[in-house]
Order: sequence, then structure tokens, then C-alpha cells
Amino acid sequence: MIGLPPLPAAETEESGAESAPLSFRGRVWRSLRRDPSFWIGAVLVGGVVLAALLAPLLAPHDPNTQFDDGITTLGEPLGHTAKFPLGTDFEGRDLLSRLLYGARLSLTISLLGNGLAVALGVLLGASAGWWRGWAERLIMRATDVMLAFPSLLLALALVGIEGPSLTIIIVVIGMVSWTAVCRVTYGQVLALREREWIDAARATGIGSLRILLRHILPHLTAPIAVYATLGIALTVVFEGSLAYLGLGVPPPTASWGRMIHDAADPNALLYYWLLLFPALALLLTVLGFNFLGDALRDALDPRER
Amino acid sequence: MSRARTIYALASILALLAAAVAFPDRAGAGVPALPTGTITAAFSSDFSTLDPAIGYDPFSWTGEHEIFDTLVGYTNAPGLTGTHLVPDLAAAMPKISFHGRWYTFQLRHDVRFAPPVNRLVTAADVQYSIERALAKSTNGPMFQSGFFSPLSGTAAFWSGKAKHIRGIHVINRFAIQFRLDSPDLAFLDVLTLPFAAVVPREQVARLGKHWADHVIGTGPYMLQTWQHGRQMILVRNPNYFRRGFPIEPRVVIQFGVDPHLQILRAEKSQLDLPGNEVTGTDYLALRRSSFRRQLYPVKDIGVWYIAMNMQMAPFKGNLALRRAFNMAIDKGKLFRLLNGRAILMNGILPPTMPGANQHFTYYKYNPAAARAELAKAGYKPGQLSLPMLYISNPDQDRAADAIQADLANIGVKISLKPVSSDTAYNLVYTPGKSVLTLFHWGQDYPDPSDFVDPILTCTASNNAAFYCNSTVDRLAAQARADTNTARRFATYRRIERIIMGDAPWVPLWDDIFYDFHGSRVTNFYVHPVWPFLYDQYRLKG
Amino acid sequence: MLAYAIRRLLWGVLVLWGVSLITFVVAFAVPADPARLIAGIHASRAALLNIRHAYGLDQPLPIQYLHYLQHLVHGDLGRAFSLSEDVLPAILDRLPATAVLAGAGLLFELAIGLPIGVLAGVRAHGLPDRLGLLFTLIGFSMPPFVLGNLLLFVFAFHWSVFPLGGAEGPTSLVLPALTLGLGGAAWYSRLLRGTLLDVLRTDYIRTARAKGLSWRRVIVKHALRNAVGPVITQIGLDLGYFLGGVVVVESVFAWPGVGKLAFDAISSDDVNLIMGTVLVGAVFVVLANLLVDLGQAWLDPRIRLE
Repeated sequence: MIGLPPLPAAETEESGAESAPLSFRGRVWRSLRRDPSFWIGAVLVGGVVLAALLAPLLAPHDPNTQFDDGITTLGEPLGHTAKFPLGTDFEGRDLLSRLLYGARLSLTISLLGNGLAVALGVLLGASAGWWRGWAERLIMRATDVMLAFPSLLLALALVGIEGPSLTIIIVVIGMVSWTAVCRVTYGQVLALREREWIDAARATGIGSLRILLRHILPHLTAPIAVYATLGIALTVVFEGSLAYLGLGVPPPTASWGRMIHDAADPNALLYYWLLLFPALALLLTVLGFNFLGDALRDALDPRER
Repeated sequence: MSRARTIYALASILALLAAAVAFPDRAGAGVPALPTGTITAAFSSDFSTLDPAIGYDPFSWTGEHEIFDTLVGYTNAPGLTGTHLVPDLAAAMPKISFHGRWYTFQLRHDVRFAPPVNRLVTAADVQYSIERALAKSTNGPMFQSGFFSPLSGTAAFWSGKAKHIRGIHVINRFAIQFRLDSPDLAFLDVLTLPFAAVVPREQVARLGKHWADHVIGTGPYMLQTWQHGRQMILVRNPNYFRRGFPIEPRVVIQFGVDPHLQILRAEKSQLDLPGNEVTGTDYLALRRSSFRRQLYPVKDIGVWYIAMNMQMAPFKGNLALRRAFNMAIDKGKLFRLLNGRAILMNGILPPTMPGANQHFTYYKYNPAAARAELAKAGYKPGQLSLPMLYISNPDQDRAADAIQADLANIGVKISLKPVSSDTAYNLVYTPGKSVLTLFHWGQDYPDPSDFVDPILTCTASNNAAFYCNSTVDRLAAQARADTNTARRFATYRRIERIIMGDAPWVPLWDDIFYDFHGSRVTNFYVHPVWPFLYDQYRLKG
Repeated sequence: MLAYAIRRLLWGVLVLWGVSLITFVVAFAVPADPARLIAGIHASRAALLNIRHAYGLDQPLPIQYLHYLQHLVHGDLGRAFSLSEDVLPAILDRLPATAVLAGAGLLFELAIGLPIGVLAGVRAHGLPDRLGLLFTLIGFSMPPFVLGNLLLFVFAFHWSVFPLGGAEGPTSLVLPALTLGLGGAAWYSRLLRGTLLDVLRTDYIRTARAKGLSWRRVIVKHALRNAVGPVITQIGLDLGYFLGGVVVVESVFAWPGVGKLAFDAISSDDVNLIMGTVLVGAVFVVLANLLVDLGQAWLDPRIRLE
């Protein structure tokens, strides 16, 4: 494969209209500003974050209160009413309030859990791919073991010993998700380290860590961004499956994953609002993070014009 | 280039859609259309076993019940009528003698095992089968079981000192006598349990651990094939002793079918009998649909209750606290959350059981009084904080949330701990593990003794509240041995009143299940003990 | 390469041993009693103790583990407590169905994800990119039980195009495989898009274009070969994961695979069955990862295998 390496140190700046060179931050912001993905993503993510932060102000009711007038005499949930703008669930609880408070839980779990996973995965994967030798063998076999090990069993055991809690969920998610990131990072680092420009860099005496950070890491942003952003949806859904088994955050705390899981019944689509709104919330959140992640990736790319 | 890519992408999507639409609309393409003469049932999980000495869950019992017979059985009818005892392998109800301690049965002379065994069933077979179920080496649930311990000589049998049970006495080829240490009117109910079903010893000996996969019995159906996790096929037993049964010659039981999918298939006439009961959500949706006539209500014989561990703080020695809990729970709200699929209970005996007091009340819902009792118990509002264990399940999730809210209302903070069924059963019956539990007890047979002896006596194995009252134990033993039905029922009702006075539980409700059946089954009903009687159902056309 | 493969396989045995040990410890750490699976929920203490003793469950854990390993080397994975079946036949029975579903699911993922990924990467920031992103993300952010139930309801119930679950005939494969495909396509489309973007902006691509090479040659010969690394890794991950059984899709569509078996084993803490399903799944994960690493080395000869 022929090719001259890009020289990250000397940005080949094609200054068009702007004649004065901008700072790194300035360049990043200019790239973001021009990118519709950024704005769409920012609005969506910002919306979800605001909803989560301002839930106590925005929610018309307490999310856990079971209203007597929230269900029919037979325990059927209500659709849209004046008192309950998005309807109620099977326990007479306001759906809108639960959605808003659920945003808090889902965001916390997915950002922390996913963040933990990505951090761990990148760290271990890059180490394995760069230094090779024993580090590589140990780390990659450890990922094999983790991948083979069913996350459900881990969750069941941890909850069985400690009891269900937010921390346990985050730890489980982190421990389960880091392996995929690790393997992809490893593969990328393996391929990248063989590029000529790396040899060149090494030949000029630049230290390993510097090479990793300045030359290799930027090329990892693509897959990392993918796993970081897609991982958010996964963690919310995973939390729902855990909740289904009684392993999620203890009830009655609202969580989108649990709400979606409880409502996914092909026989009961006449109570569609119970599925539609949480699923929509999840979808918009995932879209938002993905758009945002895309825009950030493009902006941070050292070769972006 | 990119245009080609676009075309490729669109083409593949179109191809997919075309394939999807092009497949002919044979209703249920791939799933065979339901044939005549075959009842199709489906369950979400495989039966754990078909060995009657081992099986101890309602699902495997539905299979075992169709393949095996016992000396006595229940009338094939729904409701209370279905709890009446009738002879099955016995020619008639037994002669009871010697102050109610001896039960002498004459066997029918026309009962044969299914092919390829084919031979006549004798008293020796009855003796063998029951001893096998009780034997230590069988490693089944009936080892040292309280159901059979009234039989004389079981202690020696279980300790290994005796090779046979002295109390099972073979008189001649077709006559057998059971001798009990003391009278026990529930003994006949015990004899209906599949553990007392008759099995052919030569087959068991020959097949060893593969016996469960190739069982042979005397019942209306015999096992043709069992593909684990997929399906089981039962066919008519040509040697069955009751003329005219089974009505339909074949039963196909599918496994691994999710309950929601069972309903979809039944609505499309691809399934006759969904084997799992309808969930609350599906019930509400079905009620409103054109399929509501295919919903069948079944009043269970069981009880959902909150157990308060009387061996642990804060419930130990604190009657006022337990009374407070009883008065704090709004059962009317529970009724609504359960969509009316419940019979509310205030005592320990389900109203659907023979002998129960149908209008029993003790504690009434009264939050103010509950708060007063809480204060008397020595707790200020907000001071007490407890975890409540329960099995995660849509109905119990709702009930637990409501209970949490009700107790918060009187100033007790409950943290909910949903766990899986197997974890729950391990924790709850082990001392010192769970202080508060939302739990369930279902009948083994429809007699009040089954709701006292195994769960509320001092030596009971399944005593979630770890309740122990010697007066209750004495009365329970007395009632168990009483041969006067009216008098023993009265004793059980008296026991109920004593227990509720001690308040180890908050009794909540008894389930009303709904089963959904396909339109082909013309005479569908659910038996109070066996649920599905495949041999009794008739298909249309 | 052969020497590398053999060495990896030997390591694989070590990995399997590690997995077996961890699983064993964890399975027994769960506060459930496997003996109760046989004895039933109404069982007496005496019956439970008897059963525990008969199955060696009352022995110290290290002894039980040793016995397990001893049986393992003879190919005996023990008897499932919750079923009247031996563990190995129970798993092998269901493995073909899982393999078929895994293969079909992967095919759908690639068929949907790859074209969209290429389109999005080549026409970045344009309409195809955005629409492709939306499409795959909708499938992705819908949990499989929602997606599967929706597909089931629309295409098998409302319009009887496909059968209502089950595994009779090729038509019953379409909906479950599609559920997997729509759910996982996003990985491929996003990964491919991302790495393509990366590669397409490098100077040598620009040089190639400047030299007059057509887009097609550029993409196929140069860009894809470089960009496909993470995709292959993900394929390996998916394959390993699918072959362990996809419980949600199998439950929704009543597909008789290993996933539901494994899930039921875990929920009921049937230790023998848990060990068996985890070990079999682990074998696939190890093999899949090995294939991926070999594949990457073959695609990019500059990667030195250790």
C-alpha cells in the first residue's frame, strides 16, 4: 500500500475566507457550527439532558404515585387526559412524569456504564495492540473469557449477593461491554502500528506513549465514537431486560428500558402509548447521541478541512 | 460506483420485500394446519419430567395425569364438583375400618398397562409404585414427606431398617390395604397425587434413568415421542379401561412457545390449548376483542400473602406491628390492579376450598388504626425501614408497588427486592434470610390440611413466617385424624381464627386465572386440580 | 500462520478452563438451590437434603469442580436438574437451529448494513447518509423484543405472510433473522461509514483520484480493504454472540435454539446446564475470535502474527 503519511503536527490548513490561523478550539467549533448533524444532535441530546435535569419542575406529578383515578375499575390504563397528558400505566402512574424521571436513570446508567466500558476497552485494547507480547496474550484471552461469559449470569450473581442497585447495574454494563471495544481497538492498533509513518516516527525517536496519543488515537476516534454512541442505546435496553428479570434498578423507579419491556406485548397494542412514548424517547436519544458523536468525530479529525 | 451502490442497496431491499410478499398466504405458512383428531397444546417451557415419582409442578402433572392412573381420582368437572373423590383404578371407594385407620381397596380386574407391557395391573404394582416414589434411592420429593408419613412403617422404610412399608399390605392379586398410624381423612386426597400412580416395575428396571423419557402407564394416552424442548406426542392407549375415552386420539404438546405467541396462534386457529394462563395485559385486551368467549375463568385454590418473619426483628414478639401491617393494606386497590382476577382473602383458607369460611373477616383496611398500632409497636412514622422480597412477575410487580405505597402511607419505608423464583424459594424457607416476603402457596390437593400442616405448623418445611403455635399444632393434628368431616372443617376454621389473631401473615388474594382456548375445542373446561383433561375434550368437526 | 492458529487453539483451551472456573463459582454464588429444581417448590427439607446428597451438591465446591472436570474430559456434561435430559444431548439437539439462525441473522445484518455503510461513507453528509443513519438507528434502538413482536404482529398475524413463530420450513426463518439483521445492521453501517470516511480522506486516496482512478476502483481496491478491519472484528463478535443463542428472538418466535435453554438455565440456576451452555458458547467465541484475527492478518499482510 503506497502512501505518504498525513502529518498531524503540521495541519495543512487550506484557509479559504479566513486568513488568520485559528486555535484548535476555534477550528473545532467552526467545523461543528457548519455541521447540521451537530445541531440536530445538540438539540436532541440537550433536550434529553434538560428533561432529565429539570424533571422535578417539568413533571406534572410524582412519577411513582399510583392514582386512583389513573386506572379504570378493571385496572386498565388511561390514554391522554387533561390530568395525564401522555396517559397512565397499569398502576395509574403518570406516563409523562415517568418518562421525564426515567431520562435521569437511563442517562446516568448509559453514560456511566458505557463510559466505563469504552474507557476500559480502549485502554486495554490499545495496550494489547501496541506493546504486544505478554500484554497482548493476557488481555486478548481475558476478553475471550469475558465474551464467553454470559452477562446475565454475572448480573444474577451480583444482584443475588449484593441486591439490586444502580451501582451494580453500571458495573455489570461496564464489565459486559468493554470487550467489544477492546477487540476493535486492538484490531485497529495492530493495523495502524504497521504503517510506515509509525516506523518513521519511531525512527525519529518519539516515545511510544506520544506515538499512541498523537498518531494512533486520532484514527481510533471513528470506531470508538461508534461504540460509545451506539452503546448508549444498548445499555438502556439491557437495563430493561435486567429489570424484566428483577435485576434492574429496584422498583418503583421509572426506567425507559423497563417501561419498554413491560409494554412490548403484541396482544396489547391497544395500549400503544405505553410503548410508543418510551420507545420514541429512546430513539430520539440514540439519534441525538449518534448525530452529536458524528459531528464531534468529524470536527476532531486532524485531517478535516 | 456510488450510483451502482445505491441501485444495489435498493435492489436488495426490494428483493427482500418481494420475497416477503411473494410467499403464498397459506394461513400459518410453515406451521401445519390443525388436523382433525389431534388436540394441539403449547407451553412456554418443557415439562421437567414425566416420571410420576419425581414430577412436582402443575405442568408435568398435566402430562402425567393423562398417562398414569391412581387408585382414586377426582370427578371430571370444573369448580367444587371437581374436588369430589371417585374411584379410578379401584373398583369402588375403599372400605374404611379399624377406627378409620385401615383403607381396603378392591382393584378393577380390567386395567392393563399400555403397550408394549400390556399385562394386567395388580396390587403388587400399586405397592411397588408407592414404595418407589417414597424410596430414598429414587431421590424424589416424597422422601420423608409428610403426605405419606401417616402410613405405618414409613419411618423404618426411610431409615433403611425395613425393605418394605409395613402399612402397605397386599391382600391378594387385586386387593390392597393401607394401614395408618392414626386416622387421616386427607389420605384419600394423598392417594390421588401422581406420586401414587401405578408404574410397571419391569420397564423402570430396564430403562433406569431413561425411564422418564419412555414412560408407560395405564391412562387414556400413552407417550409416543418426546423431543425435549420441542414437542411431545401422546396417542390413544388401546388398553385404556374406560370405553369412549380419550375422545380425541392424539395430543401434540409444543414447548418453548411464549404465552403471547400462544394467544396469537390460538386466535388464528393454529393452536387449541394455550397451556400458560393469560397475563393481565392480554386478559384486558382479549376482553375487548371478538375472542372474549374463548376466555375461561378458573378460580385457583391458593393464597397470596405477605409473610412476616416471626423469628427476626422487627416482627419477633411484636404483635402490634403485625396487626398494623394487616390494617394498612388496601386490598380493594389490589383487586383493581389485578383487573378483578382475584378473590380477596382475609384468612388462610382460600374461599374456593371445601371447608373454608367463605365470608371470613378479621382485620379491616384502616390506615388510621394501622398508624395507631404502629405507634403501639414502638415505631414513629418514617422510623421503620424494611426490604420486601418477592418473585418478579407482572402481577406481583404491581401488587408490590401498591403494598409499598400503602405501607409508606402509614409511615413504614419498604424497599422492594424482586428476585427470580428459584432464588426466592431458596431464601424464603431458610431461617434468617428474609424478614418480609410477598409469597404464594398453592394446593397440592383441595383439603384444608394442605394449608396448615406444610406451612403454618412448628415443624413445617415451607413456613415463610416461621410461625409456631403449639395450640395450632395440637389442633391441626387433631383435625387431621378426625373422621367427622363437618367437625374437622370446623376445627380448621378455628385454627384459622387463632392464626389470624397471631397475625404471622397479611393474607391478600386467591388468583382467578384465565385460560384462553382455541375455537375448535367444544367442551373446554379447566379442572380445579389437573387443569387440562385432554382425554375429555372434544374437537369440532 | 498454521503455527499461530495452533498456538491460539492451545490458549483457547486455557480460556475455556478459565471460563469454566468462573462460571462454576458464579453459578454457586447465586442464592438458589439446584436440588429444588428436582424436588419442586413444596419440597420438604428432608427431600432436599437427600437430593443434594445424591447429586453431590453438599460436597465442598472445589471437590465438586474436580468431579465436574473429570466428567468433562470424558465428554459427560452431567444431567440437567430442571429437565429430564443430559446436558450435552440437550445442547447438541438445539445447536443446529441456533446455527441456522445465527448465519441468517448475520447475512441480513451484512446485507442491510454494508450497502448503507458504503453509501453513507462515500456520500457523507448527504441525504443517503442521513437516511441510512436513520434507518439503521431505528432498527438498532428498538429492543429486539419490541422489534420482533412488531414484525411478528404485522407480518405473521395481521398479514399472514410468514408463520407465527416456530421452525418449520424456511419461511419461519425470515422474521427472526430479520429481527437480528435490523437490530445489528447499525454496527456495520456505522463502522464501515466511519472507517471509510477516515480512509477516503487520506492523501493517498486523493492521490489515486488525482491520478484518474475511477471511484469504483478506489473504493473497492483501496478504501474497503483498509476500512473493513473493524467490520470483520464485529462479525466475529456477532457470530460468537449469536452462537451462544439469542434468547429474546428465540423466545418471541418460539425458535428452538440454545438461547432459551441457556436463559432458562440461568434463571433457574440449573448449575449443570449453565456450565454446559456457557462452555459450548465459549467454544464458539474462541473459534470466532480466532477466525477474525486470522482473517485480519490475511487481509492486511503487514500485521505480524505473534
